[in-house]
Amino acid sequence: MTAIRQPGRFGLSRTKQQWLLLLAGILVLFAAWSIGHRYSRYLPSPSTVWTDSVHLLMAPGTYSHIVDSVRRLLIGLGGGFIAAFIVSLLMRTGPWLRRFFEPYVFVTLTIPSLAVALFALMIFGLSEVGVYVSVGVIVFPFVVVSLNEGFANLDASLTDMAKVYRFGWWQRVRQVALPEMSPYLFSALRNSHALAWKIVVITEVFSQQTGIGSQYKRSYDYFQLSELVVWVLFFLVAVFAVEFGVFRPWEKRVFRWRVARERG
Amino acid sequence: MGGFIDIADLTFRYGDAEVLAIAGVDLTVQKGEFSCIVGPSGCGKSTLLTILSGLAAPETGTVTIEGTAIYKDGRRTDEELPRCGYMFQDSRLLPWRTVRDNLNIAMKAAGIPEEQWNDKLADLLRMLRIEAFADSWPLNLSGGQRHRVAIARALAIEPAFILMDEPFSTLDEVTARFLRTELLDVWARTGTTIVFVTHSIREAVFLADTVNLMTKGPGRVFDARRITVPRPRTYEDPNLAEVEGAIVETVLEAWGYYDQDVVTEETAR
Repeated sequence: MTAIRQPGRFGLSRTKQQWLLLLAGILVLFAAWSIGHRYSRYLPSPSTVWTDSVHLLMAPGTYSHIVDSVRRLLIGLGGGFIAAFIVSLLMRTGPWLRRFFEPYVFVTLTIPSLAVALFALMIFGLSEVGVYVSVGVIVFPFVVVSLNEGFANLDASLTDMAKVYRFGWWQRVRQVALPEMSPYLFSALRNSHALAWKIVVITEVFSQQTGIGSQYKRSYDYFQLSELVVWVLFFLVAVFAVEFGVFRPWEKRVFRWRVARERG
Repeated sequence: MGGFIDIADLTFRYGDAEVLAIAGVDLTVQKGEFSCIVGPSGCGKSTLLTILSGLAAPETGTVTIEGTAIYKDGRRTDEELPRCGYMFQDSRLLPWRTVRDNLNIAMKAAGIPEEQWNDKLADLLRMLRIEAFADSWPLNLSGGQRHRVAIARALAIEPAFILMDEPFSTLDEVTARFLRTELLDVWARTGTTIVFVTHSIREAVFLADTVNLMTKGPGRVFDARRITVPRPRTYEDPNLAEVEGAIVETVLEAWGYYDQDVVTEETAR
């Protein structure tokens, strides 16, 4: 049956309505920003920020700061995911290891992110390893919880099929378990991604000479509020770029078999 | 004894259950035979297949395949279980892999040389008339097409025998009839030994060389009927209806339906 498209409000399609609303939201933000600039002593005007943005975009050093932050994010996230995957697998082996690891999950779930960043600074000093560890530790419990849920929901009938057809352990992981757990893995990735970005910049503020966080610190030290706003905007662009440039296309590719079902 | 598959005095129980799931099953399947197992729900006919596939171990009894004891006195021997294809009630394809990948993954696990995969895949898909769907996602196929892919997968691994657990019970009757005919066609061409579990006597007499009848649970095989009606068979064949009628008569008594009627009449009085 073919769905009949109903025109939305004002005779516009739903997509056009959504774009118009987004545009309206941005315009209101700019208006509030301009008013804030006019009636405050410190908030830079949108035009000043624009000029500074262009200036920073022309400087090659800007990109190396962004690349440094992205690299730390990906390594930290990857490390957290790998650690969580191993621990989650070990927790599946029996009640002893499950009880052994439960406190680790609980502690890392509740400990403040800032405290983790400070611990990492004290232990690893100015080394970049501190950033990786901070991100990994913060991401770790969210991933373990999601994976545990995924493991609990593995389809026993597919496991039987894999046994009968004598899949090797790697085939069972690669062809059965990982695709089955993908919804949980992507849910964990989505939940932890934005959080990981925040941890990256916090630890960079404390311990790094490069990266977006280090530029926050520099702007603060020189009281360059306009530059701080520019780096916040760059941060937002970097987060969206990774989300829409890496994770969303990846997720779309992994779940393309589901799109097939929706069409069918 | 002396068949391709010989089962003697097999018993099985789930976990610590007080009641056995199967109790003393004796069964022989000849090489290349289409052997059906018919029994009421809960008699343990599917359990028998899980033991034959190696998914579960019996409590007691002996299973010999091609002269090699796989289980002896309830214990797994060191002998390797011959490769078996398995068709479940549902197709159990990996929905995130294409038809081609589903077959290739099974062939890889079975150790079929990679250079043979393409030819084998093409042959099987052509034989089962699904060659147009080689690169389709399983969820884009109909139930019948998915079952054909599952048959292709079972055959692709060059099995010593194929186990089928009520594979057509979830399909509509027209599709199921069509697939039964195709299955017989494939069986005739490949000569594979098939052990087919069903609760439908009509399905069993249409397909089988031998119909093994099981008692109510905990089940055992109490009768093995050789079906001599010549192939190709049709559902309308009066000879087939006669065989079916005789088996129905036998199982009504064995499964206790006549006793139930008596009890009901007595209770009514």
